[in-house]
Amino acid sequence: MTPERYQQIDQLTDAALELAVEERAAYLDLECAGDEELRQQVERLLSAHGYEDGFLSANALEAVAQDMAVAHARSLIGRKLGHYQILSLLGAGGMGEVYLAENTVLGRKVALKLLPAQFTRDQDRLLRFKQEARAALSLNHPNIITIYEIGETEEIHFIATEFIDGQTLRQRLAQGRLELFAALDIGAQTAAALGAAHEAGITHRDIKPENLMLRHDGRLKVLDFGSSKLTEPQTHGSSSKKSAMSGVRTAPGIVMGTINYMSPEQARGLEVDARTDIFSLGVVLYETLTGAKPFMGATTADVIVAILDKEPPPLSQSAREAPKELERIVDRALRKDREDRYQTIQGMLSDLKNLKQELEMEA
Amino acid sequence: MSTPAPQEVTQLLIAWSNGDQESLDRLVPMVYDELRRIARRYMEREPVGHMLQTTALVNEAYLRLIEQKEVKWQNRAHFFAISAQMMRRILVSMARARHASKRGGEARQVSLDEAMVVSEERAAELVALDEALNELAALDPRRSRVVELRYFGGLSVEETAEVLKISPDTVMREWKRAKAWLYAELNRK
Repeated sequence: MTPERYQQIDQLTDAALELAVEERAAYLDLECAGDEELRQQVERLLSAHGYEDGFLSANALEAVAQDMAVAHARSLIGRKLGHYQILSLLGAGGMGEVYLAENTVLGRKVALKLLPAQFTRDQDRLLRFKQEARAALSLNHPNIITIYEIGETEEIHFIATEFIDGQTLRQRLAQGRLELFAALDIGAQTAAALGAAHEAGITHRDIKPENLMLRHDGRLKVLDFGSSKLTEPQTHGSSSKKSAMSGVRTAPGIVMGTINYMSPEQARGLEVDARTDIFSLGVVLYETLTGAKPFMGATTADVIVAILDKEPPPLSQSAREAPKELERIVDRALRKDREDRYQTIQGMLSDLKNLKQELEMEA
Repeated sequence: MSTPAPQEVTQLLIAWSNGDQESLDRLVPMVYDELRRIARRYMEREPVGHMLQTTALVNEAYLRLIEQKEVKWQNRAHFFAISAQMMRRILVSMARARHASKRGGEARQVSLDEAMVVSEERAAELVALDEALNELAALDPRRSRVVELRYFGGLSVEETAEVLKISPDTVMREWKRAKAWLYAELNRK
C-alpha cells in the first residue's frame, strides 16, 4: 500500500462515519466506483470503529505487568514452602507479596511475606535487612505485628508473621475520611507502637496507610518494621551526596504514591532518625481526618517540592470538626525542620491522648 | 547480575540514543524491575495509572536528568520520545523471546522469576502490533508515533501533544484513527 492509498482509505472512512449506517453502502458504491479492494479496505476499517476504544486501553507496560501479576499469583498458591502451605494472596507491596499460609506443623494461619529476589540477591542488603528484622522480632507490643520467623527455603527469603484479619487504613480510607474519634484513636495507637519501637532504637521509616492494619475489634497493628531497610541504597560512610532520587528509591518500590508520606529529610536522601516517623504519622493523621493527602503533585518531582517547601491547606478547611488543638498537633508533626517537630513520639502521643480525653469528657 | 543504579537509566538512555546498542541490554533489567513494580500494584488491586501515565522508571530518569545540569539534552519532549522507543524495543524483544520459546520443551518447576514472563497471548499480540506499527509508520508516520508514545511510552495525551508539537485534540483524533487501523490489521490475520 502507498501512503496516498492509505490517505484515500482514511478520508473515505471518515466521510462514511459521518453518514448514517444505512447510507454508507450507497456512498461507497459511488466513491469506490468499482474498486473492490478499496471498498473492502474501507469496510474493514469501518467495522473496526467502535472496537478501538477498548483496544490498547492499558499501555504496554501495564498490560505485561498485569500478565505477570496473574501468572505469579497462580504459580504460588497451593504450593508448599518449607512447612508453610500457601493458601491465597493477601496483598502485595514494594517489599514483595504477602500470602495467607498455614504453618502445617503448628496448624496455625500466618501471613507469609516473600521477599523479591531483586532485593535478596544483594548479600549486603540482605544482611542489613536481617539485622533490622531481628531487632523488630524483639519488639513486643500490642500495636505491632508479631513476627514469628525470618527464614529461607528453596532460595526464597520469607518472613512469617501473625495473620491479622482486618483491613489496612488505606482500604478503610477508600470509603471516605474518618470521624474525629476514630482518627484520633488511629493516631494514638500508631504513636504507641512507634513509642515502643523508638525506645528499642528502631525507626520505622515507612509509616503510611498501607502499613497500618485495622483489626475488626478496633485494634491497630503497625506492619513492616525495618523492612524499608531492604530497599535503601547502600551507604558507604558519607551520605551527603545522596540525592532526592535516592530518597525516593528508598520508598519500597511502589510506582507512585508512597513518596507522599516521606519526611523532607527522607525525600532529600539524608540520614533519618525517629523524627521521620513523626512527620509521616502527621501526614497519615492529616489524610485520615481530611481524606486528602497534605502534599500532592502531578509528578514525583512536584510532590517532593510540596514536601520540602509547601504548607498544606489548614486542617480545619476540610475537617471542620477538628478542634484547634488537633490542628496544632498535626502542624507540629509536619514541621519541615525536624528540630521544630515533636522531638519524641511520646510527646505527640500524650498530646493526642490528652485531647482524646478532653473530648470524651465534653461529649 | 546486579541491577544498575537508578541514575544509570539516564546515562544509558543517552548512550542508546547516541547509537550505543549495548546500553539497551543494560536497560532490560530496569524495565523488568519496573514491570514487577507495576505488577505488584495490580496484585494490590490499586489503580496503576492514577497519578501519572509515564512510568516511574522514565520519570526517575527524567528527574535525574534535570538534576544533572551538565548533561545536555535537547528537551523533555525528546527525552520522552527516546524513552518510548526504548520501552518498545525492550518489550517487543521480551515478547519475541517468549514467542520463540513457545515450543521450548519440558515442563519445569517454575521459579519466582521465571513465572514473571509475558503471557503467550500477550507476546503474540505485541509482536503483531510491532509489525503493524512498522507498516503504519510507512503510511502515516505521525500516527505510528502517537501509538509508540501513548502505548509503549505510557505518555498521556498532553505529553504526547508536547512531544509531537500538535494539539491534544489532534492527538486524540490520531490515536483513535491509528487504533482502529491497527485493530483492523491485527484482526485480519
